[in-house]
Amino acid sequence: MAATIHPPRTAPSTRSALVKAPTGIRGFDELTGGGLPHGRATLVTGGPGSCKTLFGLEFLVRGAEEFDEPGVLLAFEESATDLTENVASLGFDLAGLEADGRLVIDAVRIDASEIVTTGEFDLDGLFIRLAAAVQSVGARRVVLDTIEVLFGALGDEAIVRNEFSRLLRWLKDHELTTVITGERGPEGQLTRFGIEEYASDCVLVLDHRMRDEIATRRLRVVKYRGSAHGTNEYPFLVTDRGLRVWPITSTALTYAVSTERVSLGVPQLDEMLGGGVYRGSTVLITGTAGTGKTTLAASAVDAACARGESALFVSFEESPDQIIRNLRSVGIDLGRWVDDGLLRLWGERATAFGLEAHLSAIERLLEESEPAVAVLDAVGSLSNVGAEAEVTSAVVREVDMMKSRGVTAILTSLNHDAQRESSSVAVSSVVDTWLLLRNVESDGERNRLLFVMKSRGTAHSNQVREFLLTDHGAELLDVTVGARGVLTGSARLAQAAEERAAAADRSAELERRRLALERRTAEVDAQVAALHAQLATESAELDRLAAEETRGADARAADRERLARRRESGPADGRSEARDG
Amino acid sequence: MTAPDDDSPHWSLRLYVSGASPHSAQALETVRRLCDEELAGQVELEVVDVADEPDLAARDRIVAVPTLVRRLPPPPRQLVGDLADVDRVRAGLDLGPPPSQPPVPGAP
Repeated sequence: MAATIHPPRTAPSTRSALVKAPTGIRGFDELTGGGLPHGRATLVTGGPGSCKTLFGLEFLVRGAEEFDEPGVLLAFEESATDLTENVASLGFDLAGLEADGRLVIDAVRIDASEIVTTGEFDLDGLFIRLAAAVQSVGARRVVLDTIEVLFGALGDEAIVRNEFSRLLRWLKDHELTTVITGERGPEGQLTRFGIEEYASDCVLVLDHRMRDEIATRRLRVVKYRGSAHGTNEYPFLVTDRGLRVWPITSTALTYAVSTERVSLGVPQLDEMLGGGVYRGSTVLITGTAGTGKTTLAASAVDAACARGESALFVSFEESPDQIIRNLRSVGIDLGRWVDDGLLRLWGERATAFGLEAHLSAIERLLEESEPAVAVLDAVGSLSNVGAEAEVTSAVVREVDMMKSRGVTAILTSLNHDAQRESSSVAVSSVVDTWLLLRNVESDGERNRLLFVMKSRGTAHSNQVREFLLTDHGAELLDVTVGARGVLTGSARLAQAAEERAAAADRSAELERRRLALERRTAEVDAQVAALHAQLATESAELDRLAAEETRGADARAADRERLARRRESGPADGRSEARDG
Repeated sequence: MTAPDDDSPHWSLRLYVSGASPHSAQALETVRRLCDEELAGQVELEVVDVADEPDLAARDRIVAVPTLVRRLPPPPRQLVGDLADVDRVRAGLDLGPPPSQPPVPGAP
């Protein structure tokens, strides 16, 4: 993308004293740094149906309506009635402007079959009509559409040329900013009668061609004396509000930025992003089919409307009713915001129009709804409409459009290949926050994961979260990291159950051990008691034995005494006494 | 054939001129002579200066000056230029060959 910087419309170029007359044609004044050369003639040439007449008319209408410069149209090909009717659908009220004295349409119909050239002449008739018309409204702008008709009708080309040159001098002397339309000539000639040599200040070429079965209009600034101008072909289109030219480089990067954070409607996601995204920033949500991109975007819209902000939801894939129905199933009721007038839902097949028409539609929606949050779902659908580079450029322009309006933009984009972490439209470099949704398949189920790929100016979580679509909206779950990586779905549940079971096991073991200890303590106590009892028993036995011994000793002493007494009295007793003793 | 009678066509002519331009003066002289010499009593000639009547000129779709507008007899026709080309003027007004120059009967 070439970084062509155009001076703003209000500031005249310091390098030259060239004053410019703004056309009011959207995009064109940016392209030329302010419009057409003031007080000079510009040739606008193109084939049939290339909108050169419309260019001239819009130049006049905008001049009268927006820049306080009344105008005169000399129409050589169409009647005033035809012109008025033709442009009424573009919102141009020619009759009203004429009634207000801000516009004069003079239809100079020339019927060559009625004209016989009989000698020398001049174009004083035309001059005087023009002068009268200019004077009647104080015109500052003139359009001659298409003056080449004169060359064919009046026969003597040399005279017409001479007079045409005199007419241009007259217009210049009166400082009238003029648009002359011309018919494209054969074999690359700019005009059929070579009138480009008289329009030496500015030449524009309009083109209308078919490409991939889509009609595309282009505008090129062939010449612009004393002014820098883009030399590319710029696409333009006819909208219901006039022409729209799309400069390749649009607004400079001078958006006002906000430090305010806005919620995306999923608290856990806001937390990952450090409190939401910056207001007016651009969020890209990419993911494979069915990963919940639309739902996530809808959450942000839902949150915006809940804050009382207006929102715009543009879908290139579903109709508004379908969006409402499908989101209701996940607990997001967008219908009520539509009823409240906060939300505008817009469904449009991206293939229905060319890219420029698409851009224009978006621009119009943004202007009409003035949303705080806008969703484009899905920008990847545009790939059907144009070549990749063109689609990317169109999306970049959309981002610019929304940024310059301070709209928090949410774009979704499908990526077909889950392994490739890039969106199908390579716009990730122009977005501020990029969320990637991914399906992971394990244990016979598919679960969704959400990553924050990038988020400018934000400390954001580097974690992967599981993204759930519940019946009350989108939800993020803290991830469970198991031995095999991030666990999702039932694997996560199983892991949780296992952990619970393990915990339960641990407490049971503790209880068991506690009981065992109690039992052991009791056992030991019992053993101690038994031992005490045994000790007591043994002690009692000992006492008994001691007592018996005492008794025995007494008895033996008594025996000995008796024996001794018997020895002293008889021998028979004495023998037995001797064996014992 | 050029002899006028009561049933002969009636001409209504309007000549647009511009100030004192030489082309206009020449055209005016030519058309006056024609009217006097050939269309006496059958023609209404109106001379209009475009600077005085721009609206009328616009209605007649006048671009070039001088222009002689044949309003009658139909069809309408515009003779642009100083009327120097006599043959074209006569053809444009549906006049026959000039009476002073009858068709040459044979080779000299």
